[in-house]
Amino acid sequence: MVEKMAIEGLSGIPSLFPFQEKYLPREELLKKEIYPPIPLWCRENKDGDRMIWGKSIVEKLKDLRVQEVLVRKFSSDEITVSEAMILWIELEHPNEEWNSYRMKDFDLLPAPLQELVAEMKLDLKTALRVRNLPLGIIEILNPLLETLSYSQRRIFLRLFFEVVQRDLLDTREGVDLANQLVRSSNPLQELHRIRYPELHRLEQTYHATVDPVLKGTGIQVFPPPYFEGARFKVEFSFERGEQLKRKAQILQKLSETIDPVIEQLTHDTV
Amino acid sequence: MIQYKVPKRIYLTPEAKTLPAVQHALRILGHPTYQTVENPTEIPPEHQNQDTLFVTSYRGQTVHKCPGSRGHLCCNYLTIDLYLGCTLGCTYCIMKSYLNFSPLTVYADPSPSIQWIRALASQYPNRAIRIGSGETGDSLLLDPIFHLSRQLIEGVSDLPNVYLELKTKTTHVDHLLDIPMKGNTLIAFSLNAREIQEQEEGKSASIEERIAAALRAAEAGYNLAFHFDPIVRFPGWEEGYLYTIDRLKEVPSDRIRWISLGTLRFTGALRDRMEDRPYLFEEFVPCRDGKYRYLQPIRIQMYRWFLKELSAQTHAPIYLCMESVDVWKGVYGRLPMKMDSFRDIFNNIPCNAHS
Repeated sequence: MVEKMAIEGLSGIPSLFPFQEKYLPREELLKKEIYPPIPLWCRENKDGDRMIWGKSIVEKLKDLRVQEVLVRKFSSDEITVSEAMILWIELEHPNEEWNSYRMKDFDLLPAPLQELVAEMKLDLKTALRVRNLPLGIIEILNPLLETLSYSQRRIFLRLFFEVVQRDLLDTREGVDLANQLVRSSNPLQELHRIRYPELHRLEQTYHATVDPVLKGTGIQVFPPPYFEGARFKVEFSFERGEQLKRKAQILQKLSETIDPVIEQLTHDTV
Repeated sequence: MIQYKVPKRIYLTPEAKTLPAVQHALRILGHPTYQTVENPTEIPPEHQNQDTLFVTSYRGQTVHKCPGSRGHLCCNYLTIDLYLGCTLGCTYCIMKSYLNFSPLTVYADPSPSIQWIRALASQYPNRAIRIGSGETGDSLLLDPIFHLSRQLIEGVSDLPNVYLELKTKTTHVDHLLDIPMKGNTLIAFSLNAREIQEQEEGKSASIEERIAAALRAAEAGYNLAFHFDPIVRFPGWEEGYLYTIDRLKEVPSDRIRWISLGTLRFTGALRDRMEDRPYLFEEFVPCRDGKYRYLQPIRIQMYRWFLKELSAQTHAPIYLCMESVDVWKGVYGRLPMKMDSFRDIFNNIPCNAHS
């Protein structure tokens, strides 16, 4: 049923899809309420309401100081994401190539990834990259993904996908890995270790040498990023000569053991 | 006799039609139909791909320094634009990241490049000038059709300090064998493990075919170069590359002028365009130039292995392509500028000839 809604409440509702809208009726038509009602998806879960289409119309109406907007509300179970997209297409009639490519790409995604993209929790590019993950994996990972930032989520899913591809994990093995990571206290770090075992080994070797000497001293030693290069950096502060002397003594101690480790880290594998 | 597939579409600029190379090509291809355009932007967008051949004469500066890599040592290679693009279809090709939406392009008039090289050679008579046409495409893939390399070879063969390198993954050398004055021209072959050639190098010639072509070129009087690039790490890589290195016994080792090594590397933009091939799930890390490479200790280990195995076959200088100071030190113990066999190659030569 079409109803009217105050524009203040509507303009704060985010769009469901990250697609650019071009359709905008003329001002005189908008003022006369001659436009398609704005479809709203009213979801009861914590993700909240979403505007399926019509953001550009709502913004224009706001500029025109129109107080109320025609809307058509859909309840949680009344429409799916795919149906919402069909509705978007029917209303927008897109003709720009890039927009129709994005929609075709979105349509390729399984439902769990569509949800993540639609809710702006994941970019379309990453979702496409990982879309062939075994069934059920995203659902298992969802609670974990909720705890991550946007960029961590992207990194996590890419790494997970690469491990599955590298190790040729079947569905059961993929599910096992997902469950293992969900149970982990630091899933992103653990996944990084699984994806980059050699790099992890270098990091462990480095820390095994440096940490016992430097722990609690206020001195930091930084290896070259990804052990690419051979320059290590030292950082510390001091207020008096005595402090400087103590730190120099600690560094002297480190200097006596670090050369073979540097050689191993930057030039040699074990 | 090589059979050539006529490109789906051919576009020529007006002045290109009269060039000898283009006349030759049209004859070889059986006088196919073509359309005339003033410049490549007139080619319809849906034709802007590697199924389209675009032929033109000259487009400004056609000789450049190899772009090299920020923070990595450069061998001062100069490049000539002759053939832009390639249809061999190697899965790791850097050109995917910037030539996917461009036609296969031929700059069919090498005379400005030849003049430029002659001027540079005259300006620096005591410097070895290495120059090649295989940076943005395979030097010889289309060359039997256009015969541009012949013009280049004949145009610089009298210059004792110019080393012209034609780099290829094909066997297309036979049209060059009868050139009487070859100068310092080298026919260079990209090489790889047989497994990588079969699985990742599309329509390229097999390793055995390339070695056979190298032998024909050597017997005709050409010097040779070999480029193990990209070196790919895969299970059994040592056995795989040993097979190829062993094949080098079939060519006269005194004809091998130099060999280069470069492990697999790619930009983020290229990675996004590459299929998910098994070799891409090794450990790659971002380096100072923004490209992703294997971990430094792994690269050093691999290069040391190659150096050991290749040195048993040849005394030719073996250098690293687009590698850092630290990797050079890890492999050789010193930098190329301090090594007699590399000093000439790695000392900078300005890329600006007086006209």
